[in-house]
Amino acid sequence: MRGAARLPSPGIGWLALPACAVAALLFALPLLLLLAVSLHGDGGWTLRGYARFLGAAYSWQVIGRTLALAFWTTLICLALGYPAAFALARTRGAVQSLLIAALLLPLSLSVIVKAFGWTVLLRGNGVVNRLLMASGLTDAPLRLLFTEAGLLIGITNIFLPFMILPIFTVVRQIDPRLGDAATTLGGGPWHNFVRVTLPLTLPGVVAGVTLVFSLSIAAYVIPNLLMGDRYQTLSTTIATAFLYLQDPQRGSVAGVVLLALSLAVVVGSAWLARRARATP
Amino acid sequence: MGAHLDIRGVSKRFRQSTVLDDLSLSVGQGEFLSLLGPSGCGKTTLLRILAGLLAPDAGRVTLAGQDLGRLPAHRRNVGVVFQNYALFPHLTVAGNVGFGLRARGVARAQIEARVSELLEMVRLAPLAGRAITQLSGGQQQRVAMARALAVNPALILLDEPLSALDRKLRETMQVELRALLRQLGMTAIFVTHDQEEALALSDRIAVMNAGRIEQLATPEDIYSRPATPFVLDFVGQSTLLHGVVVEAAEGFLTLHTAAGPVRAVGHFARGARVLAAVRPERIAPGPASDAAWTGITLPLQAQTFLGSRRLLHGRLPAGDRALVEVPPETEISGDALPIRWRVSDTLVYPVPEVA
Repeated sequence: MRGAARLPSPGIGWLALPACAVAALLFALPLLLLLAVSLHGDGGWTLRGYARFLGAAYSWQVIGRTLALAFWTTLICLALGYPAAFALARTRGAVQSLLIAALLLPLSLSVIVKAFGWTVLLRGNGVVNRLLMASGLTDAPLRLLFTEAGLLIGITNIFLPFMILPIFTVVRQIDPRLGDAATTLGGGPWHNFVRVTLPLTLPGVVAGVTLVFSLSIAAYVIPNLLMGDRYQTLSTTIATAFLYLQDPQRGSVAGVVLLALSLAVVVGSAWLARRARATP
Repeated sequence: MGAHLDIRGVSKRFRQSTVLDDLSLSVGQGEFLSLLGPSGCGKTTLLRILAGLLAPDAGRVTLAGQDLGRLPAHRRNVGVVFQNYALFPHLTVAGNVGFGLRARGVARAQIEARVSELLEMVRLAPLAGRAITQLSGGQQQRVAMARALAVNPALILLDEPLSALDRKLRETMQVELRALLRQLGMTAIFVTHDQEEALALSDRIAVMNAGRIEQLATPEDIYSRPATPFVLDFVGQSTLLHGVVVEAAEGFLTLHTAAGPVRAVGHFARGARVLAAVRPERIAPGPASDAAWTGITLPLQAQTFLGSRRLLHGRLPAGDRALVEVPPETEISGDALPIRWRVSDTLVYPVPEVA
């Protein structure tokens, strides 16, 4: 921004020190420990933990399942959240405040409570099935709980606000006259969406995708409660390794793999988005 | 000459308020017409209706013989320069200018040629690859012009395009903009609330008030022969004297005002309440010497030195005011000054009876 006042103090960066210290102590250090444990065995440094984990076909099933869950969750959240963010940006005043509150309020509720809530809603004689039968859409109760469909319903519901809010923030800042300008220049609705709206909302989409993908790739409680023990993802594998198998190396390896996967996807999507924006 | 743009009986209401009231207007090919009026007079609403961004409740708009009513905004071929330009922040200068051509599916090579032609025209060719945010206000304004002109529109609408610029730059841009549009023979409608800008640029001015056109005329006529007290007040400054007609014979009037008798040309009944007005530069110091002149003795209140001229303010009863323009070197002494002007320069308006 031109004309913005230059900050007077050259030492302003030090203000970030407490936050950096907390992050280093509570976040970076444990991660380093995790990495160390994953590389440690038989009294020395070794890659055997990785070889063991990545050598098993079962691990690749788990990785595939984890990625698929995160992918579908992100995609469904994007498909539902993108138009919802526009609708939200179009509302005004009290209605908008009310809708934002409705979006934020569930975040104050523990994920465990929400996941339990969905088990109640999705079970054989739950509200969802009773509504389906009362409306005549089905004769017998559908099996929803402990199915992937049920899991996707629950997980997208829980993570949807993390998609809507960042997109909404970006949409709200777009000058509505840009649409008018594009229209008077002869652009039809689809052309203007692709050439103006989409590129301008891309930062919000990247933020939302990053959040939802990171959250869902690491989700533990929701798959556990809605699918049970048979459904193993990387995070449930980590928990099983540490809690039941007493195998910290296996757990650490799975943890590092999970971290690497989510970092790769998040950084990759941000890079792709920047490239898409740069080409006019 | 057939009108290039013809607006017939256009009305628009928002809830209770009438924003445009049965408005009609014709604009010739290549004409530069200003819509001048205070905010809320309906000028921007009319502009949006012409652009197709708003549908009128009633009325018809034809452009080059084609009824615009059936055409959505993106098929109208009407260029718009928006108030704060509404440039696309994610595109370069060239990307902005070429946007309309790309929307029309013009071939890439042709787009490039046309874009450089336009950037040349607005003297921005070296900045083609720049981001919009790296441009100054004046440069952004020129990009907005180039973008609107690139598709060779049948009509260009300018919505206070210079209002965001500082005074000096605005005056330079006015000259530039006028020359560019004249060179292209472009029909333009220019929305502004700045009377000086309207006077400087326009072939004709439509002064708007409360959804209607108060007067449609050349800048010269708008200024020297304002049709209504609203136009008189909105465009330029003047001496205002309320009075009563005490004598009316053969087209000549004598008015009784608080500052003394004033003569004018016009047809009013004796006893009619009127408002007399005189433009400041029509007034000269000195007593009215013969029958062609009329004047008053002005009690002086203050004077303002404006560099190229000096303005004298008179002390008059509430509702009246006196404004005289004299050369800057004029020495004024004493607290009263006889002033005079031609009888034919007195503008007279009926004063509506106050209920």
